[in-house]
Amino acid sequence: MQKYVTRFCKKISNPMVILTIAILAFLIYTIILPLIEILVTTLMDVNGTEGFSLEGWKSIFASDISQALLYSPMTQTFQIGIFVSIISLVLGSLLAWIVVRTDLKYKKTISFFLVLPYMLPSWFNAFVWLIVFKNDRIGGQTGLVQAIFNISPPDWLSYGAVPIILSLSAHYYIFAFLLVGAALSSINSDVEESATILGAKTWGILRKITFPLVIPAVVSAFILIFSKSIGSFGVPALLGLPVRYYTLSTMIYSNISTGQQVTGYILSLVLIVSAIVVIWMNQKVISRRNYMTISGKGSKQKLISLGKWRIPTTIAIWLFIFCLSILPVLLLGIQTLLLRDGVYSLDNLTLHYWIGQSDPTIGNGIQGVFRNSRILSAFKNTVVVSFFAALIAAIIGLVIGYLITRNKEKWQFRLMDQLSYLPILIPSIAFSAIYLSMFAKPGVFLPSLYGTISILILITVVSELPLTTRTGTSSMIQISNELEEAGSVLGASWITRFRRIIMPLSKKGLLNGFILVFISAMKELDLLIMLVTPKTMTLTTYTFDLQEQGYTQTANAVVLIIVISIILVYTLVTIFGKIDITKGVSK
Amino acid sequence: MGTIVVNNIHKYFDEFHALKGIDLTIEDGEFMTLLGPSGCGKTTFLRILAGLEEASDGEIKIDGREVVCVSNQVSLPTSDRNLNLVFQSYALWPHLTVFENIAFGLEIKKMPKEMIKQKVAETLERLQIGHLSSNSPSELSGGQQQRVAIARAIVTEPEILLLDEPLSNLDAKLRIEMRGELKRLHHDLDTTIVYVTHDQVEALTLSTRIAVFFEGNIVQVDTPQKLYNSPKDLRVAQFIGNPIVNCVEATVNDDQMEMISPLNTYRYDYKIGLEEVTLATNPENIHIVSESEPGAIVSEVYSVLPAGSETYIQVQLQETNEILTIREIGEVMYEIGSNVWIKPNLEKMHVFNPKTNEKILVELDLRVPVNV
Ligand SMILES: Nc1ncnc2c1ncn2[C@@H]1O[C@H](COP(=O)(O)OP(=O)(O)O)[C@@H](O)[C@H]1O
Ligand SMILES: [Mg+2]
Repeated sequence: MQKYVTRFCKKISNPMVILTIAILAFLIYTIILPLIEILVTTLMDVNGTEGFSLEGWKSIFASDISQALLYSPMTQTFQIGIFVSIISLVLGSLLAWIVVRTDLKYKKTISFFLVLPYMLPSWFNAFVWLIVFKNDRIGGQTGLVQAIFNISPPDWLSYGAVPIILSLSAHYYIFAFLLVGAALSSINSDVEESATILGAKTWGILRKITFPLVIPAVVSAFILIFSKSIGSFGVPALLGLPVRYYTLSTMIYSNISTGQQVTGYILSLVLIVSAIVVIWMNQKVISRRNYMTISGKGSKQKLISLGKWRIPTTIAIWLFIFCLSILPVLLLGIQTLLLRDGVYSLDNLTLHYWIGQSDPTIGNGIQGVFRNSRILSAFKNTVVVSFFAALIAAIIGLVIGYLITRNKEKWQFRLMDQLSYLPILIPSIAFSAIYLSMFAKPGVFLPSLYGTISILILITVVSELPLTTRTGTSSMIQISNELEEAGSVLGASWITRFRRIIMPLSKKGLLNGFILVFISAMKELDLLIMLVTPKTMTLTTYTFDLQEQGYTQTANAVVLIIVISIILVYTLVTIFGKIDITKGVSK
Repeated sequence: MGTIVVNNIHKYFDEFHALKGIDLTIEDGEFMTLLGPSGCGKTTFLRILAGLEEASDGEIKIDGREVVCVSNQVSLPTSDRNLNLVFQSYALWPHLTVFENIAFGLEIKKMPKEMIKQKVAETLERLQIGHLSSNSPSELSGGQQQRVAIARAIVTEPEILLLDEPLSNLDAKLRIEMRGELKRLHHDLDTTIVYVTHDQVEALTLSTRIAVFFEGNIVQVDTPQKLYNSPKDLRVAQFIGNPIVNCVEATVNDDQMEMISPLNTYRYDYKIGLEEVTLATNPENIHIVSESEPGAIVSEVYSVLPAGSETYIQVQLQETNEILTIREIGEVMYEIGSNVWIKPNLEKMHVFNPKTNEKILVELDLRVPVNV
């Protein structure tokens, strides 16, 4: 008996054991418990019934409102998913091939700009779309097309499926670009050259050798884009909600914001299951880890000469970049200067929406952005949330990565690995629905977190764990266990070893994780929209509010602030931090 | 002081039985080499000795103090065993300079700054890397990294120094140079050294004693001379053989006290009790002789391999086509394809049981029958 007590005490005093228990507890509390909670909510005390009942599920899957609530949004969601995936894949793979395999000039700069849209919020494109193609159907001011050509764009072009698909594609092609690009650059041109020696033509080589080798990356990208786009909220909200074009995510939002919690939760579960099925299929089709091992050696590659295609290709790519990265920012900037929305003439230009005092005759008396104390506080909230979420997520990711790589065989750590990956399966809007339910009232260990900044930080941290755990693990794999053992032989305690050996060696990985989360948190809307209160408003959620209430110029001005902040961070990090963010994005 | 007594150490990795009851006593000040092929458990044993790996069973005492005793759940932390380890990969910390790498252990011991400086400088000088003090490990060559790793291990003056294949990453010339330095270091420091290698020449040149590992067992512990001249196990003979040991099978006839081998038919004095034995002898124990000598047999020169100060001659036996290697001092020339007469030195012929690999210990007194 005594023996076991001493053994237990010894174990408890080991910092590794304490850390393991703490992290497992954290993951279970923040990921598993909410999922259980939401499931229970949909099954107990539903619609006035007492105790267990399937009423809620029945009313959604088999009743007169099922079509409107579930089936039609679901069809539309999948439609969007499929089209976005196809367009993104074609575009992204083509660009990747040109950038990686041809002798195009200024590749670094081009890559920087091609990846830029990913750094911006996905719904940024939706804002710009409205500036250009808005028609007069739902009132408010019309867009640029109407102003210039004086014709009203047809409904299908202003709102609904087409603009949603295009806006999302303009964001998600980057996944295909990065994944396929990585696969292409890992192909040693020896493989292709040996085919050339055998007399194959360029097209034959592409079809017979290059394409099969990048297939796994293409499939990965497809799945990633598909699951991301079916879960996205911002774009379908901005371009679909005004005309009652619903996807699952906007349906969830509408239901929960009108007090139909159970419906919202059930739809969230449907969305989660859809995402899980898709990702599970991915693992079935290919085991990505085996295929995607890219040798660190940097294979030698012979570039394909563009020849007479050089000029057209260069022009096409820069035009693409201009349309997707530069023009939108310009348009957004100009729009914020229009005194009356939709009137594009010189005497209509004003800085009122930036610096003006409240004037009841303009925009319902809204103040200029720089005078608006709510925007200042939203900016502060955004920075606070992004900074702390990034810091915490990066550190937890590093620690989990450390524990996992040091104890590969044990079940606790495999569980930890799986758990930390789970949030990627939960679409943001569903995730925030869960947190709303869980933290609206005082919980087991915590007071009610709803309405605090902490819950925004918490949910961002948890949703970014899959990413930071991966970056943490990959930087830990590079630190051999022996470096740590060399310390223990000399008598360094675990704390000392972690502080003096592990931390300094993983500095780069830590910084990388931090920056990725920081940028991603700055543009986060879906995750936070249901959890913010006026006091904890962030820039993104405030923008969404402003847009909903029709303060278009102010909303766009705030978007511009977000965009410029992110581009600033992204540029600084790329230039000074010597960190290649694109490496982390594709994980 | 640095006496190590190892008693019945076992190690399981899940089902895999990596160490199968290791018994070993290492005296104070010894240079003990653990020799064996790759994967036989040398590193595992060294790590258990260092406390980086837990034993599954058994005891280890250092200077009479119990450091591992699985049945009593004793396992002193590494830092309480007063030893240090040089890793095969060196495991230098890439974010620290050479100086900081070496000073780390002294800082952990909270030694005053001035003293640390002095001690590190002394150690750097001893290993002739004083000029590299402020470099980062990645700027050093393999040999220099090796020296830093050793410096880091000896600066804390451990009583026992463990080295895991320290020379295996160096090129041939540097390896020979470092051998000399290691031996000198052992002489100067007076510490007990436990040295792991799979290179038999390294083991023979450096050690005071060698423990030969096979598949998780120690099969023989002896001085280099004894190990070379009288291996107790066929595998040991084959592993130690330099460059190779000559082995032939012989059929035993205990009734007539006669064994028939491809070399010759031999008489012996005691009953063996086996159907077959393996005869083994080193290349220098077979001589090329003139035809007239009794007991010599004829064979064909297969290939001649000069190696500077000595020459290896491979000959092919007529009946079985087996190839034997013979070492001759100096540069000698034989024509390939020509016939030569060879004769083994029967006093240095070892006889093994091919089933158990064990040496047949009785004094057989092999001899060529007079009437042949
Ligand atoms: N951590 C481990 N887990 C499982 N098997 C191991 C582990 N470490 C070593 N082994 C196995 O134990 C055997 C002995 O390994 P090792 O001691 O490294 O051999 P050596 O150093 O003699 O080459 C090998 O078969 C190896 O695969
Ligand atoms: Mg080894």
